[in-house]
Amino acid sequence: MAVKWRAADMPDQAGKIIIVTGANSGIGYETARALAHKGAHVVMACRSRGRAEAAAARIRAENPRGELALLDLDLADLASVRAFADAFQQQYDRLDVLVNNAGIMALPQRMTTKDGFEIQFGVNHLGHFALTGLLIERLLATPKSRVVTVSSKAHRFGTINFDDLNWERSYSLWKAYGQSKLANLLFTFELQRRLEARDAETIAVAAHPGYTATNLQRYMRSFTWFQKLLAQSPEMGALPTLYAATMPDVRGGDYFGPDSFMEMRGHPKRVRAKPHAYDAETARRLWKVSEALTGVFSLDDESRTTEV
Amino acid sequence: MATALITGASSGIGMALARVHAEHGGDLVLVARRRERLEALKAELEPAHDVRVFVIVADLAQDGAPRKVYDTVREWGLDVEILINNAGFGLHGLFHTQDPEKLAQMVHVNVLATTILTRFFVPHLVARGRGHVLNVASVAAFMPGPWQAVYYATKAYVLSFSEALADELRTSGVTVTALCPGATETEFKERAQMGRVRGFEMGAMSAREVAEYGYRAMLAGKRVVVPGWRNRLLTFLPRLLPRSWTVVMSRMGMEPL
Repeated sequence: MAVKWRAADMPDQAGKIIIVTGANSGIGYETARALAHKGAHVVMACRSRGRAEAAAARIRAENPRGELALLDLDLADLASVRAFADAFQQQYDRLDVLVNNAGIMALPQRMTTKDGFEIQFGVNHLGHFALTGLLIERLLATPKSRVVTVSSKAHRFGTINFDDLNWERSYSLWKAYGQSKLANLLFTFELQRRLEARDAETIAVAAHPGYTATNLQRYMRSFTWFQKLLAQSPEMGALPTLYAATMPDVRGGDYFGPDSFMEMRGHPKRVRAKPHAYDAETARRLWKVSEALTGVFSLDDESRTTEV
Repeated sequence: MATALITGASSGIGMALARVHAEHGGDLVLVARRRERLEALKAELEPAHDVRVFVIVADLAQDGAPRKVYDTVREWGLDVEILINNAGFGLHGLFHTQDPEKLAQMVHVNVLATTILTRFFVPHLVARGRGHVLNVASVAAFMPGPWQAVYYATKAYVLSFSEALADELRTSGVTVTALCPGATETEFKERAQMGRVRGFEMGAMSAREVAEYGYRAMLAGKRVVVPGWRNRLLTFLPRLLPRSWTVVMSRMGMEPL
């Protein structure tokens, strides 16, 4: 891996169709922007049409080589996820990269999605789980396609609370966020196993932005001084995602994060998640539960038979 | 529950072990030659116990088969934590009249495949600091066996190998169990072209009983287990008898009636 890798080091993305969820601000915005500059056709999947249009206008003002398209997606509403997937599949017959970026963090009170899931688990994990499942046929049909899911260092203190996934009995904002970000990794690695099991060319990879100042921290005002001191810009925070989405040396199951000061800032490098993120049994269990909760049959694991 | 790989899972004790493991909620990798049998077992176990069953059709008598089995498991990204070397067969008859090809196949399956599969899978178990190997030996492992000279010798190998490996791995968190059944109601007798012999006339255990016994012992980390009191007596006698008497005893069990 090149030292000090930058967005400019990405290979040309002309002809690629890339979906970025939460592309109107923060890391999602910088991801969409950098990909568009490299020639990609970026589908910005955002909840608010107005904010998405404003973001797209800002990027277009920089005259990128690629194109930007807008499609409404509210990850806190499975009906919206389905509508998005339908609309996308009507307009596009390929999908090179799906960037599962959108996220929500540390809500002071427990909130729920339209379908009744605790909102961090619902948006960060279940929404993206369903989205990936609904788009998997397009991904499988596109050579060397990728699913990049943005996780966080917060996966380290997360556990999957199978007894109360939606935090109905007790809500702790950091536990709920940690669970959702651990779920992103478990999902990525399980997805990769399932893709491998069917010899698919599609790969699943993960990235985390380190400590990046974005709207994600909007509920944490007391951290402002800390953030000014330590956090890096969204432009830097997007680099691990961009690396995972575009570089030819990326392999399925890889995880990228910043390279300096406790993976909080810097340029992308391959990192390791905590061991519990690689637990295949937890991952499979989470997968099964997620299938049941979303009703999306994401990439069946029809057991294989082989002759040797 | 951990994923188990079971060789010779298309019938007999192997099939019974697969059922027991599925009942514990564990995923399975079934290895055997007969595809239809394995597919049928998979179709039975997957919906009944909500487990995943993977099928590898392989003839462990072939050179390189263990390597291919191992590579396939790696390719599928499966995390095999329980290795059950169950595949094996016997061949009844006087040694100097037996088909050399078939004898070679027997040694391949009973001895080589067991050894090499264990060699491939164990490093991963040791690295994780947990896991089980269950090798299906036989009461035959405890004595020489006229009329099945090679079969008895292969099982002596399996027992010896298992005990030594269990000791080597004693602090690793990985256990090695040798399950030593006597006469069991399986296809063994037909496959060995045995006809009527005293050893089987005296009553056989069911494959299910043997499998449950062996599975429990494996989870408990026992090293050598013999199911059934008659079999335990049979394996104890060689410790008391002169070697020349033991061989006569086992001949009486195996010679055609």
